[in-house]
Amino acid sequence: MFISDVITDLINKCETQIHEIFSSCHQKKPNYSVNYQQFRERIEKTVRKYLLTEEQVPTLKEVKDFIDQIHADDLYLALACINGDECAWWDFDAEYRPYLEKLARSLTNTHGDAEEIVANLYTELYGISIHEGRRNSKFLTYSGRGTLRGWLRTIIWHSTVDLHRASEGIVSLEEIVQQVGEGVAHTIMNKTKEDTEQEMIETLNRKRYLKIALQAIEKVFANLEDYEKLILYYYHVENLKLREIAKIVELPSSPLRNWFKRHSEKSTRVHESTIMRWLDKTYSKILKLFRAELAKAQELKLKEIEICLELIAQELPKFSLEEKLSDARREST
Amino acid sequence: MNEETIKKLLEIYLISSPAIPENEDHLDDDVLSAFIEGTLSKRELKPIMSHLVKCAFCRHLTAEIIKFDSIISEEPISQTAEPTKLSETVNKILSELFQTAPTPIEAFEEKKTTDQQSATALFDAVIDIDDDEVIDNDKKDR
Repeated sequence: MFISDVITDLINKCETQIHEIFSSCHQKKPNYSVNYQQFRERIEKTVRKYLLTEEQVPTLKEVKDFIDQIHADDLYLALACINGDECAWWDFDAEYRPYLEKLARSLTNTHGDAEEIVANLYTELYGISIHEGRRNSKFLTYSGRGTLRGWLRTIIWHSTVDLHRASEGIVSLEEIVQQVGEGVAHTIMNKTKEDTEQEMIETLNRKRYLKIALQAIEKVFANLEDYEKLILYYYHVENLKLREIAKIVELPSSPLRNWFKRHSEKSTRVHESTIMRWLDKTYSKILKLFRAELAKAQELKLKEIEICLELIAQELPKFSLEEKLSDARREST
Repeated sequence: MNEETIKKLLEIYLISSPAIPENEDHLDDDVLSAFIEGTLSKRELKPIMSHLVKCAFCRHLTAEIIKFDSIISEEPISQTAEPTKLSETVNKILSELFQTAPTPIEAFEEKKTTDQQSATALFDAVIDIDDDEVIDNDKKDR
């Protein structure tokens, strides 16, 4: 039996549960033009999207819990809006317009742009093109897994950035992300200026150690767990503040929080200081693994490891990351 | 001292390796939102986290939205009694769409900006498409 068929079977076993959720939504908003079949299809699509992986077949309990967590009222409203239900649209407008206006104003400098953003968003949500007899409403991409509010925030942010880049003729965000990194790597390895023969030898030595060090750190990093890597990226590359990282890991439902808090006390909040302590511990762990890697893979002796670290310490302050980053950005645009 | 060195080395390594996987689709807005809200289970999060570690593009998007979140969470939502120009635009869009609500912005219409005109034109197009569709269906019925 294919995993896809297993999911179909599991969803069939949840029929009563889905029906109860639908009835509850329908009871609250009996005038919306959403039928059970449409609601069920959407739930099934969401289950498939998030639980259908090749690695592991979900259990019935996992599917039931998942369906319980779907933001059914939000999904019901979205489905009614897809159907062009006027009541639903006015409800949506009353509920979300102040929030959307706030988002639009935060994203723009001028009032005119905010108007364009919100008007464009409403256009996209309603859908201007017709596909197979149906309007291509943006609501079709909302699954109910997160809140409608959070989804709208992402949609409005994304479309504003795209709009801005298109209007300014800026290359895509994807290209910039790639080119900045390549530029930085190129600059780092070619930074040292060679003058005298002695300086050349020292430079070669430094370059060699720097290369060894970068290879070792790459290997150490590869062996960290994904959540550790992600938080290090957020802190060092994306410049998220400690409080912003604390915020994403402190959500009670966040599995990131579970990873974070598993060795610490049972407090209810994750504070900035918790993240700072975690980072300090992680640096110590990385340093330990880094030394071990230099000793094992590069066969450096203890004294050589210290020399390597010392040379790197002398060399690294020459690379102002901010400067390199802006250089690379300039090159890429 | 050594810890500072390793910190800087790590930072250089991380900044200089922004890979974007070629054989994987980027995360869509629905997944990005659910991830940022922290609503995903450990099982759902596993492939997403793995993608975020590999894909500098999606990681950057999540970080930017997290930053945006912290900015907007500090700003109050204004509930002004007087309709703003922005509200008027949306009112007009919905009124045109459903042709039921009153259009309270007659005077404002005379001062339409190019942006508003383009948005209105889009909605006119929608209404036209729908009308065409209705006409087509009518023809079929006949």
